[in-house]
Amino acid sequence: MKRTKIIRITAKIGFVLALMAYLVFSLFPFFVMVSMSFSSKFAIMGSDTPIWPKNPILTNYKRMWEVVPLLKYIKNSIIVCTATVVFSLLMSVPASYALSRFRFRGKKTFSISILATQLFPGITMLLPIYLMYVNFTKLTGIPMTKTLHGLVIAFATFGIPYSIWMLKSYFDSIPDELEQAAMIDGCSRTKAMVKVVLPLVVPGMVATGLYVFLLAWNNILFAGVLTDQATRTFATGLQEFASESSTEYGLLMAACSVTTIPIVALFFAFQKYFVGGMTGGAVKG
Amino acid sequence: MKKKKQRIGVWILPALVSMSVIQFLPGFVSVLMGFTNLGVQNITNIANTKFVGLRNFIGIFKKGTVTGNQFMISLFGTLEYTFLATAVTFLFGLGLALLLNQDFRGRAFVRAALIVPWIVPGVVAAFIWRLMFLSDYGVINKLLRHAGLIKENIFWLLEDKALMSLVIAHLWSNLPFVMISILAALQTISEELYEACKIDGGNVFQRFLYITVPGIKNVSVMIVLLSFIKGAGEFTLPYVMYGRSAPPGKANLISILVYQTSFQTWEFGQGAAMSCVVLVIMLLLAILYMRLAMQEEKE
Repeated sequence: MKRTKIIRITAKIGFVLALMAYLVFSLFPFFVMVSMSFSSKFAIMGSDTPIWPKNPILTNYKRMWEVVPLLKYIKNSIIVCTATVVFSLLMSVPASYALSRFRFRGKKTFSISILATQLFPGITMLLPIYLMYVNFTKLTGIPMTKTLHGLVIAFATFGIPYSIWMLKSYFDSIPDELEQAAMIDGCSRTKAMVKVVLPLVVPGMVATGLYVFLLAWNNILFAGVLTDQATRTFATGLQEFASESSTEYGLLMAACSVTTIPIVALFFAFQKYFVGGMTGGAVKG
Repeated sequence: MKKKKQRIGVWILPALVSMSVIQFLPGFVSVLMGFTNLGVQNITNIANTKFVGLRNFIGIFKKGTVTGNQFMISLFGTLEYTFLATAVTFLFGLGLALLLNQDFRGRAFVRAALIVPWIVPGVVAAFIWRLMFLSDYGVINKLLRHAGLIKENIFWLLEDKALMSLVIAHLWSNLPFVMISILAALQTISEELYEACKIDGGNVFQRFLYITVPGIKNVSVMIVLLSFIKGAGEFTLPYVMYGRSAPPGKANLISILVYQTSFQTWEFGQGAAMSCVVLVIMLLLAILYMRLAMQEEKE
């Protein structure tokens, strides 16, 4: 009797300790980001200065906009990411509906090739895209590299296949009988899809869109090569805080905080959609 | 019947056309590029491009040359990184999901707090870890020194520690996704199954083996595959953590090496050849993995 009690208590302590360890591991870097954003250069560079600054300062949050044109980069990022989401969804909604509902020749090949593109590491796609852009510009005179529309097209290389795959599983979860009923009532297939099914998939589209937005927002591989000073995105612009000789960690962490904290807040607001969306595809597997 | 077929064409046309232009065509071009002499001299003028057969491939596999050595180190470093990152993230994610599957007070809060790293943009995460890993004034060394665990600073970003540091940073960003996915699967397993097993005399390990494991198998197969794909193409983490300097030795992952070869020394043919090799390895591993996963399913 006594032994089982000891085992139970040890198990409980172990449980709490493990959970605490995970919590510290997951939240500590976030805390470091915020604390460094309030630290002076001296406080960061000191080898014995405390992790939370003794005299928190706000100057980092003021100076960061002057050192790097962050506002312009954020604007570029918002334009490019929104356009990527809209373009990807427009291209993929009809296709994912077709993959979910119709049987047609080449369906298997089409879906396998969409999956196969996911195997390509980003860098493998970047080389040919760069080559094609440069030569397309030479042939037609239409600029592609160093432009926002060029970046949107490059981002769509992951936006479209990802959206098709995610949206298909959302369409799958809606019974076909809904459209059948609408079609018996005289709707055409298209009308039944737009009026009956599409509204039900809106949560799925929001989740997919948000995820594509984040992927695009985070991308530095395409954005680093395909942009210049004028079209640089936020994620690539952050690197301007690090010069050859030294890195302005205070300013950098302030810039990171300013953009990360709203995303975290937004996430908690949309948590329900998001968690469902990010696991929806995997659980079905 | 014929009319119906045409309609289906309209549904998939936008995706088919856009995918052909921005996915299938570049994929094809990227393989072709590996067999050409594309370089700084003809990149803007492909008319001067010649096919050179296997020259690029022979170049990157040649032992004793700088390129050959670098490629081998990066290739095996990437494999090591991918396996380590996948295994570590999966094991910790599984542990965490099992913990969170218990009922306890404040579970919703803990779960939300544990998802935070997943929402932190990858670039930001890489910068934070770079700052924490710094040797002189990095937070990790500071803490370890204060706790009396170390006397000399550890060089987290150098030599043999570099790959481990990358894995730790990868773990931080990817743990939430693995945890949430496994947790979602765990919660679909009916409580009655566990009760039934208990009544039949099954202990904790038997319950885990015969009920939990089959319940999360499908998700696990997906997670491992996704994690593998992500690891093999990892670019942001090493690129940001090392800034303008190249990551040391094995930590100079293959994506970084292809980037350096293509966009710093402008040897496009050679860069494309390298990424071809990676692609073939990934295809083989993916097919092998899916075969194994499906074979077990049949049994």
